[in-house]
Amino acid sequence: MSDSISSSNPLTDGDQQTLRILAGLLIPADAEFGVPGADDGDIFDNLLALVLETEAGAQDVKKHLDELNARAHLRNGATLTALGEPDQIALLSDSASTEAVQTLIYYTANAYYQDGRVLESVNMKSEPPFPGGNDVDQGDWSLLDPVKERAPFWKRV
Amino acid sequence: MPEDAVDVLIVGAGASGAAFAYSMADTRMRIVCLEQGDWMKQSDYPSNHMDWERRAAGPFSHSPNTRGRTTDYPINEEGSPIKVANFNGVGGGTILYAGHFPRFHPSDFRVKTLDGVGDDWPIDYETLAPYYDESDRVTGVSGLPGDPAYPAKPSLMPPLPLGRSGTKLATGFNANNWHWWPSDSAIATEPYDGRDACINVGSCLSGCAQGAKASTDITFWPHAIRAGVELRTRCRVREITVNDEGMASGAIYYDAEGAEHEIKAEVVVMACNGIGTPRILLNSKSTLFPDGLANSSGLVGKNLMFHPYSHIIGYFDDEVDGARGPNDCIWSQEFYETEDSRGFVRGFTFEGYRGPAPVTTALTHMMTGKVPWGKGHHAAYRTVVNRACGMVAICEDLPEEHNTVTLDPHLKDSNGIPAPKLDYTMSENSVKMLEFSIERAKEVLTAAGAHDIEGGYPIVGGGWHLMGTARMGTDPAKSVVNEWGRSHDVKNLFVVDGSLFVTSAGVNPTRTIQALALYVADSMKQRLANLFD
Repeated sequence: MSDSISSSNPLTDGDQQTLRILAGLLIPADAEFGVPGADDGDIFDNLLALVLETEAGAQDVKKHLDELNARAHLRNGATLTALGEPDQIALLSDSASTEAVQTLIYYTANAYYQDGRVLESVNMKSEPPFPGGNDVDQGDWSLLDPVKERAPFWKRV
Repeated sequence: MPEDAVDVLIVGAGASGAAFAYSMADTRMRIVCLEQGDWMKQSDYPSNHMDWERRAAGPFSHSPNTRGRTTDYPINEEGSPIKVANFNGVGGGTILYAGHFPRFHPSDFRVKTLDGVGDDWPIDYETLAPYYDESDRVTGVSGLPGDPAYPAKPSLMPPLPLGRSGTKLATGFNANNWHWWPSDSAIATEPYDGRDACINVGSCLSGCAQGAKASTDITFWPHAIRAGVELRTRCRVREITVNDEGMASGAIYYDAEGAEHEIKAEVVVMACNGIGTPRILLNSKSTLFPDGLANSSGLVGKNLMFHPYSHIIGYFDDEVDGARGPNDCIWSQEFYETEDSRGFVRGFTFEGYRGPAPVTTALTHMMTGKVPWGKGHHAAYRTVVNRACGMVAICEDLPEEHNTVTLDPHLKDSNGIPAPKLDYTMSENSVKMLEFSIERAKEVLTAAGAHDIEGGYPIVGGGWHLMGTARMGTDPAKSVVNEWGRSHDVKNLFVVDGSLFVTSAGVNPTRTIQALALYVADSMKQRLANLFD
């Protein structure tokens, strides 16, 4: 495992592993709903790309990963990746209101709910909104009948 | 070295600049429009991409301070609870607007006479009606004739579909015996003037890749350019110049490389919106105009009006439209006119909201803990995604002189031009109206079968409508421009954007802005022989 850090990517391999574990905890795979987790290959690749899109964003995420690892050391004497899942979940629960977790939720939700498989599972199209568009029912226009019977009520001047 | 003089210089290529250029083009005068932004490409709009919501929140954000494009200028809005929403490019705010396209009512021009607040406009609905009609023909408006909330008006294309969301909301309004009607929309529901019909892409607020939504880059501007108007992009105006006789003589502007230029003009027309226009006028100080150009009244930049918005949403057990349809849906003007028993004057329009998109839904609910992360996430998410719809209330904002646009003493844009600084507070009248609107909306949504109904105000990022800061009027002591948009102080300087507004009405302003711009242009054309008298 490499700890090399490039000038354009401040996240080490270890950071990325931590990020992947956290993504999978935040939004796990679910067989009942037939959806992958946020640690799924394509989804995580997208998540990482979002994080690395700006240097400020990447540095911010690294800072938060370091904070969470520091918490893990304090609680369990180990890094987050070395913990078992129950301890990882407990750490995340205790940290839920922190800026660290809120930031990770932001990136995870953005990456996850762009994935075509996930969108299909909630009756959305697995493609960009354009050029396919959507079908929208005309709806029940007879609901307008009682309004049509009203006399004009705009104020004369 | 100044360029050759042009006959008419228009500053800004948004809704008003486009409509004005279109009308003035038939004079065959040499007309140049300077626009600080770019032409937009429909292929660049977020809806072409899977990550459209993130792009809509970033490079296509409604906030210039968030967007931070090179074509944007910063705004100091720390002194306002409502933040500016704009777009700097050909089409201006119409690039990102929803396309809600209501007209004013006749009463909106007589607020002082009817309700004892604000001021009356120096024109009336009947004066503007033919210009509304002309603007509608160029724009392409969908809707349904017969709305009892309005005088008769033409409707050119069928209305947008009700969909599941509109049907829910309509059921709720009917249960209360309250007015509703399909929204007038600047969205084509049939092929129109070479543009395609709406296909329910659902990302109207970040640009219409289909071209169905009527932004002025694809409506007025093609006609104006074919007729000979020259539109120059990446030209940011710093100030309007004046000659020794106190007449506007042109403008100083920066090009894309930051080089300074001067353009001479016989007539100057400001079309930069209710923030941009006072900003440039205030920055156009001279010996003759030490307080800024056209400002003998002291009212340039004053009487800033937004429309404070409330937002109310409810959740349904079955699916609604969500983001799978155009933003526009139905509206209600049940509470539009003043009724004393309500405790406030004037009123508002409810505008239906089909529902949030998937990422927005996830973020909203996960950040607040309403949808958990972890094991229970998916089941909980499926109780909210495409299950929420509601409405906003667009509340009439009364003009108050203490609500202002001034020049920030420190903050500047990339060309060193002082940024605008906003100082704005919501009035007690607005607060009462907003709170009332939330309670009525809850009644609608409850009757429609919604649960977990939530409401709040204001929409912080909802400073879409920028009005009042160079108001029109017949008294030079109480207005900046006269009843046909000419500056009282500078006889060859005109304003055509929302700065003109005397009062704000309780409706979106773009249809009225375009009609006013056409009206000002026509007024000028009728007076060409003695335009500066």
